[in-house]
Amino acid sequence: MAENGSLVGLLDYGAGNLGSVARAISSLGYQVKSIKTHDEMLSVDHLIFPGVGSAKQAMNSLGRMDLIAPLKDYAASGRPLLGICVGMQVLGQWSDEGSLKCLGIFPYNVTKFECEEPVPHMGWNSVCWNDRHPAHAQGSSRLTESSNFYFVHSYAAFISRDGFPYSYLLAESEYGGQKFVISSHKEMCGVLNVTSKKVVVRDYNLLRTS
Amino acid sequence: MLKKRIIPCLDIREGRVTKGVEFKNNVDIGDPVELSQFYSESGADEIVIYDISASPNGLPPDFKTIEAVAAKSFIPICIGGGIKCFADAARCISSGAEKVSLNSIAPQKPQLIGEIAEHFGVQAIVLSLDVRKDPSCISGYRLVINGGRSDTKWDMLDWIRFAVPLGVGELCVNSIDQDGRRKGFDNYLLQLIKSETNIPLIISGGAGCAQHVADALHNGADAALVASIVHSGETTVSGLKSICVAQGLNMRMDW
Repeated sequence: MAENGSLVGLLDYGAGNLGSVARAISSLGYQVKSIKTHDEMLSVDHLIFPGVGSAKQAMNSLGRMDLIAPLKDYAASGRPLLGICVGMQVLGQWSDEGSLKCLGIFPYNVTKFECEEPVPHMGWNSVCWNDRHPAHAQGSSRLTESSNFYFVHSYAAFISRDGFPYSYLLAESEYGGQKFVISSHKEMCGVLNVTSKKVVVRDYNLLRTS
Repeated sequence: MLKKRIIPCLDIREGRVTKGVEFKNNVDIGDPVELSQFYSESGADEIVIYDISASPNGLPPDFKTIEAVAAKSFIPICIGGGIKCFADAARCISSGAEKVSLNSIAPQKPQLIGEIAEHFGVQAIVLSLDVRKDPSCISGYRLVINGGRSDTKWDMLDWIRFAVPLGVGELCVNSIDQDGRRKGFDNYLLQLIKSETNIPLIISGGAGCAQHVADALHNGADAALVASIVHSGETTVSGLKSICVAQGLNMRMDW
C-alpha cells in the first residue's frame, strides 16, 4: 500500500466512525490525515474512503462538501484509493440502496440480496481468494488462506448478476447462494466490502495489500 | 458459510458490568473495557453493551465507556440503553459502535427507527424486545418495557409486524420469564418469531449451559446472547462454541 511513515488520507465526510480505521492505519506504521476538502485531498498520495451508513447519505455528503469531482480526479490521477464498505458502494456505478448513481470508478452495481436466508447478511463468513489476481503475486501469500470476516449489509456487488470482471476480483464470499465481491482491485484503486472496521484492524494484512 | 454467533452481553450500571436475575438483584461482574477485551480475544463474535442505568436516570449512553471498549475490542459492538434520539445513536456510532439497539424507546417513538435507518442503514439497528408470557395476547406474548416493569398495549407479533418495516436490521428477543434463570432459552418463542420475519434473530435470556445455546442455534436463532453462563467463569465462549461445533453447527473458530 504505502511506505512506512508515509501519509494516508482518510476521507471524513461526516458519516460514522473513522477512529478504528485510523487506528488500523496507524498500527501499520503510517501517518493518518483526516480529509475534508479538495485542497486536503491534493496533499495526500494515498486515500481511504471508509464508511458506515447508507450510500445515499455518503453521496449527499460528498455533494455538499464539493468532493465528487475531486474524488474522480483523484482516482484518475493514478494515486492509490481504497473504498471500504459504503466507500466501496459509492465507487461503483449504481446503488439500489436509495436508487443512486454513484461515482462510476468501478464497473459494478450494488444491489440487494435476494435469498431465502435472513437479510441483512450479518455475522462472520468465510472468504475465497482469487489466486490469479496480480496483487496476490506481489508477495501476499497470507491472503490465500481462508479466514472469516464480519459482514453487516443488505446490499452487495454480485458477481453473477453483473458479469463482474473477474480479473479485478481479489476475493469473494457467498451467502444465500449468491456470490459477491469482497475485495476488488483495478489499477491503483481498491475496494473492500468488509463492513466492520474492527475486522480491518484485526485482519490488517488485507489493508496492507489492498 | 455464515457462522452462528455467540454474543456476550454486558449490562452496565454506573460504569460497571452487573448481572441480575429477572432484571433485579444486580451483582458486580467487573470493568466493561477489561471484560470486552477478554471476550474479544477469547472467541466472542460480537459484544452487546446495555447501559441499564442510563434510561432510568434520564441519561444518554455512557459514550466514554463505548469509546474505551471500541479501542480495545476487535469485534463488532452493539450499544443499547439510554438512546432517546437520533443524536444519541449517531454518537454511539461515532464512538465506535457498529450497531445500536433500541428497546423501551421504540414503542414510544417508533419514528426513531426510520430516522436512524435512513442515515446509517437498517443493518445498524437492532430492535430489542423484552417479552413476557401473557395468555391475553393472541401470540401468547406481550411486549414489555423498562426492564419488564411496564406493560405495553402491544402483542409481541403485532409489534414485530409494525416495527420491522420501519427499518430494523436485526431482532434481539429477551424472555423476561427466562432471564437469568438459566433454564434454557424459550425455543417456542424463537420459532414463533422466525416464522414471522426474515431478518437475523438473536435470542436472549435463559442460557444455563452449553446445550441451551446449541438448542437455540439449532432451532433457528442466528445468534445467542449469553451473560451469567460466561460471566461466572463456569464456561467460556470457546467452550460453548466447541460444543456447538460438535453438534454440527457452523461457528467461527479462528480468532
